Amino acid sequence: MDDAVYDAVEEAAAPRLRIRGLDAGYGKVQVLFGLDLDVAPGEVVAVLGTNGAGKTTLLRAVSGLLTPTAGTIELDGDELARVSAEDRARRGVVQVRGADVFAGLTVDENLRAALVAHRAARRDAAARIAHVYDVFPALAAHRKQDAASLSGGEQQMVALGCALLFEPTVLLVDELSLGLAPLVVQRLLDVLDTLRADGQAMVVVEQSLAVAARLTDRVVFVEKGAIRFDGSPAELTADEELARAVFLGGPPTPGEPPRSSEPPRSSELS
Amino acid sequence: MITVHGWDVSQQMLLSGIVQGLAYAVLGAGIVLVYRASGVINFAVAAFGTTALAFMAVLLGGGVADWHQPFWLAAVLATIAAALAGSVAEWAVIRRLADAPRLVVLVATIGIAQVLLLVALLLPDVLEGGFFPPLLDWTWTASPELLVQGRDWSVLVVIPVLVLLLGAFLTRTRMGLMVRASAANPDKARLVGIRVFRTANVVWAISGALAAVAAIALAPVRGVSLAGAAAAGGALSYQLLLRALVVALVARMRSLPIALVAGIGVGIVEVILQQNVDPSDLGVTELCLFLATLVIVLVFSRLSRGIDDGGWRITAASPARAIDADGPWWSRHLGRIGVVALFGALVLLPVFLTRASESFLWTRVLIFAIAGCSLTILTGWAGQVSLGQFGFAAVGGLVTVKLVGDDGILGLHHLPWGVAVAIGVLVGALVAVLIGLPALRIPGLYLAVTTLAFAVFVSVWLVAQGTFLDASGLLPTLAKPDAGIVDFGSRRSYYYLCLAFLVACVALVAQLRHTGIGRSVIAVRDNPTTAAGMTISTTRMKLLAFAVSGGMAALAGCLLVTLLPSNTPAVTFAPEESVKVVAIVVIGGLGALVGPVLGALWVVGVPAIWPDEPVVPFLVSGIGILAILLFAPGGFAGILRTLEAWLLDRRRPREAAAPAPHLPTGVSSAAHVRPADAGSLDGEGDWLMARGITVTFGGRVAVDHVDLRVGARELVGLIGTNGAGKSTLMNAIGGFVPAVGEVEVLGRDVTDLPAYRRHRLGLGRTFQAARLYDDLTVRETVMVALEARDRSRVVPSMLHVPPSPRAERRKRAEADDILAALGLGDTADQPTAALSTGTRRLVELAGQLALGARVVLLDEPTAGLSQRETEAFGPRLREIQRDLDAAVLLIEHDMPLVMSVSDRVYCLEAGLVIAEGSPADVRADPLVIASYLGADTNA
Repeated sequence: MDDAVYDAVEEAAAPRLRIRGLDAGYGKVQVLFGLDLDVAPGEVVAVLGTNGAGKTTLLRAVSGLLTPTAGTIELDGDELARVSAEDRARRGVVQVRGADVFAGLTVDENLRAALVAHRAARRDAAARIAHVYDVFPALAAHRKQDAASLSGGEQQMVALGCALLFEPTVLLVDELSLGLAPLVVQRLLDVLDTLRADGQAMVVVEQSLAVAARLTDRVVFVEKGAIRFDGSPAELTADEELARAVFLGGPPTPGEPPRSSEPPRSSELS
Repeated sequence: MITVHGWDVSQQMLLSGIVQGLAYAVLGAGIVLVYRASGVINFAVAAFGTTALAFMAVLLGGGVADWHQPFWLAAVLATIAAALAGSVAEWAVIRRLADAPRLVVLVATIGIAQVLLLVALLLPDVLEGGFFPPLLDWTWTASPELLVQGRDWSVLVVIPVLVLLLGAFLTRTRMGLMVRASAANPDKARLVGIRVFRTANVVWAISGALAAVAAIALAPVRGVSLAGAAAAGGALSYQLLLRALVVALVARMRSLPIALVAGIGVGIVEVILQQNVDPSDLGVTELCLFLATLVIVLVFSRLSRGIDDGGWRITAASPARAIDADGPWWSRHLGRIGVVALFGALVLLPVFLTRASESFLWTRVLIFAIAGCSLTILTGWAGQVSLGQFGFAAVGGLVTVKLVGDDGILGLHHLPWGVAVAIGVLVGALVAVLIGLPALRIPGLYLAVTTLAFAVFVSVWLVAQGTFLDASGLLPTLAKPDAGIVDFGSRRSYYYLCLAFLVACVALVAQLRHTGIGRSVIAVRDNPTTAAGMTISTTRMKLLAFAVSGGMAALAGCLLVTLLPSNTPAVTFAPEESVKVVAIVVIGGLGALVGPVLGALWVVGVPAIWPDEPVVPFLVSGIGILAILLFAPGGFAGILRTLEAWLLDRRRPREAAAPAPHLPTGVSSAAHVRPADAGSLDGEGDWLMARGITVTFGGRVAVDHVDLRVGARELVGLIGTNGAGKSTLMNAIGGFVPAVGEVEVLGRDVTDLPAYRRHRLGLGRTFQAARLYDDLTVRETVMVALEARDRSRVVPSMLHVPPSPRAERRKRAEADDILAALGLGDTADQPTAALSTGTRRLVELAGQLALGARVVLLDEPTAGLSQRETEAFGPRLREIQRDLDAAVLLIEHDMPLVMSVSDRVYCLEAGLVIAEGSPADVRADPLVIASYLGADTNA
């Protein structure tokens, strides 16, 4: 853990992921407006924001499912613009989306399909898959079952299990807690905690500030496709008025201007 | 031999049923595979088989020198060639259309099929006669009644082995795993690094190989000769294709085992039918298949929600042509000059035709252009691809022949030609409506299958009915009409008669396009939901498109039977002709006025120049379709339009384009555009009342007994986190999703009304995506909304007679008033697809003004707007609400906006209302804070 933090500080000059001026959207509807974000190696960033703010769009742009209209995305200094989603995956950009599984394939096949494109990891496939079953014993019992027939939490475990098969360069996690029982969320968060302790760089999209606070000390708040707040969850929760201003609108305290067009930065707040 | 209900069934019949059925099963499996990998129904599957067979015939029959390859080697080589062809087709065509609507890809597979048949024809001639030998040479006399010959064995052994191998490949190999993963979830497959295009390529190769093996195994059963292998791809291939499609549909486009069983089932039923009916009525199988297709497709559509069913949309919004009012006259009328020149050339054409056969061929071109016009409306505007236009043509032609002839229908006989044609056109329109009925329920891909089944059924069964034919089995020759003053008996005068009909059809299409009818049909295709929100009935518009289209196709049929001296109707109205019509409109330019004429000149006219070359038709239509779809989606008409734009641009340097208005401000009051008939409401009670609204999606409760009311002239906000059910609630109120509970609009109970009827009562709705109608201009979009108060009538619109012209002028003026009031006057002639999101939102609101909506539901009006635009939006919203004198329900994620404009706010969580009250109260509510900050999981 300490090593990871040390490494993060050491390599701060060369972020694992570096996003500048990102514009992206669907057809005519623009969702991201000049978004900037850096993620250091070993750092975990939680992305908060309401529906439609652009959180998922950000992840789609990073993983390559969506082609941005402007801006740059760099992975360890390499521009990704001309790299296909498939090749980004081979470079270790791993995205975990909701309960996203290969329906009609068994749990075992789901895990094997996640490995099939990774030549190096394929060699000890059996051991890697066994490791996933160690982490999620609940899945081992269903390994021959159609993944689509599992419960939402188990499908989420399959999706996250696919990311545990190898060592991602950067792990993108979308809406881990959406629609899941607290106990299941707890289990999944434990796994992410372990990954963080191992120095895994992660971008975690969340709706729940509580879940985000449990995972990391850096949250960014996305609104209207740009980052409006960047700081620690403590800063956000400690100042309930600020949190409410960010989430629910309205003036933070009487007398202050309703909302400056410049987002409050963490440095100004502490 | 046993007899069941008077039907003879023998073991031998069962055997040959199984044998034929296995071949259908393999083709069906090929269709299923491709569908799962590329999401498209592969209409080329049978053509892969035909071409492979022709290739094998060359290897065996020695067209080149003394090639007499060993039989098995030839079979393997032909299969490999078909696999390669599949791979090339995927790489060269399908992959490049990855982002196109699936219907476009479907038509591309028809182009691939034509190119494959072209290749088969181009192969060297096979000199040796004889039939295809079976793969295996065993004979087994099981009983006196059952003889299993070599040709049966080859199917019975080879095909099950093949299917088993395929199954093993899919379940046991790494590539198979990738194929299944890509088919199950293409996005996720890409995210784990599987190259989806590469697996699709493998699947196409496999499907090509499957088709080859099926064709080779089936050839001896069908008695195909080596020399006739290439020609076997004609009418036969559509019948074979139809059977394979039915098999794939029964397998729900998923299951290979079911495809196997379904194939055998179809084969057995076919053989038993054919052995038991009158030998002259063998086409009855096609009748059964057509009915089976209808049933399966209707059942299947209910099981397959969420399938990509986008209509035919390929025309990229053409850039608004700035017409320079000061330019020379020719620059202002370039388009019109082109149309006049085209028709002028057609008028002069007969002068250069010396032989009678030539004028016959060019008359045929005109008739195909008329058939093409029928697709302009159905496919170009309504977005429905029909592969059965010549089915409608046959109906029209047969009715005309009967009515003019001695027997007549229902006592009507010896009718004058013109009357008979008019009735034929009406009957054609009626049949088209009947065929179109399932289209209301099924995705476009399946409509293509249904219409193909219709075309095959008409060409094989209907036209073979003795009542239409003379003693020699031909359609009787029809005397050409004699109008008293002009006798159309000569070929040249009949040419001019057909030209006059063509001009009339083009004029009718042009006229309709500029009326509410044309706009509404396009609106329904581009965005059925918004169209319903603007009170347009989807059902009415789709059926109308079918009726007009069917009538026009029937007219083409009438003209064709009059042109042709005693002809074989099965050839005249073959399914190939329907496909030709699709090729005509795609190549000419779908939706464009002169597209069908240009397309017919190319697809039918060019072969008329070389009438003795059988290769030319496949060359022009096959290569033509693919080249146009890949490189110039607008067709010939699109190319001409680009040329025109280039010509105009070159003539005068383009001024810097004025920037599109960015949420124009300083707007005059739009109060004067308020509809006169929507006088102010006295009732100050609740204008919108929803009680106990509950919506469930497959067991999940999305909205749970929600009560909500919006008072007179009130602006109510609706907030809540992702997935709280806000949009679903709004959809339930608008009638877009089935829901439990009651909805009242302006005091009227609308619970049982469909969406478009609710909106006629004063409900208005905008949508999150702000997708309007890409192919309509801003003014036209507003005019579509004006239909709500001033509905266009069909017949006056077609004929340009009162009240249509005045109504059109009135709507145009009113639309311009509304646009001017919102500061959108400059954008009136731009296609909505070219606007910025912010401007499109305003156009949506202009639509609400035009509707005269009194209760307006706004779903995230600031989605996709920049921060600056959003901040300007609040005051505009209040202003528009005042102008409309309306109550507003607003879903919005921008909290400062919703809190500042709303009178009251509802907060939803997990489908339940958790808070209601003034913005300040809701903002302070602990439940709301917990919902947004996720405090509940803190514990």
